[in-house]
Amino acid sequence: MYYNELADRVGLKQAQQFWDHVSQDPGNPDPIASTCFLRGRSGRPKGPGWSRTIHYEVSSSARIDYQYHDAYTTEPDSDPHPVVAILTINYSSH
Amino acid sequence: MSDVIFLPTDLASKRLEFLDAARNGQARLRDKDGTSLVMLPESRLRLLETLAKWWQAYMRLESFLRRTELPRASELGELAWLRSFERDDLEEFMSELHDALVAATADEDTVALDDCIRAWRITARQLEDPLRRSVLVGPHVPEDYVEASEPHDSE
Repeated sequence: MYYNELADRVGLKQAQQFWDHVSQDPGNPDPIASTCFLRGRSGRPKGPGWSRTIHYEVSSSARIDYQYHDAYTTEPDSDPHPVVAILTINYSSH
Repeated sequence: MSDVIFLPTDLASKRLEFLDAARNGQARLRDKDGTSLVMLPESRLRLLETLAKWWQAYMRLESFLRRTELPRASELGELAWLRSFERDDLEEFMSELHDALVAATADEDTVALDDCIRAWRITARQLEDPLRRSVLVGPHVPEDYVEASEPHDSE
């Protein structure tokens, strides 16, 4: 899986930084990495409750697009919980 | 615009006054042949150049979008990176670009404009790959996702 290559591609420190960001504060700018909202159709929420698409630059050669949902449920009566959906990982350099 | 017009001889006798006027916005000088010259901070010149460039691009793109067919890359020239977008995205870009240009002109600062262009360029780059494009603009399919674990060293 593409995501499993992240630590090998960018180093454990930066991979961990991305993990900490999306697991703790996915909706705010990262203090170190560059982020922005994708624009147009690419940036629209995938459904009710989903955020816009956030583009996160893990390094100069790794960028991740994700959306997050603060109260996602897998079934109608299941417990709502926050999730982050990694939409794309781009390992090519600029 | 400054009311004071310096003369070439003032560059010796009123050098500091001339430079102060330039620092504070602009210093006007009437040359011997009547040509009006202006000295201004380089940052202001860059701002004016940037605004002129993007207003021009905005007008060009606006005229392209009045047509039925989308502009070709060769017509877009420096804006060829926009070729990744469909019409609705291009119209959204135009709207955001217009707002950013108005803000940058009013603020005399290109931060809002730079942020707008940067985000759209990044989006265009992400759409270049067909697989990424299909995920980004396609519907959300929960079954396509698997749980991810915290990263760890593979060694």
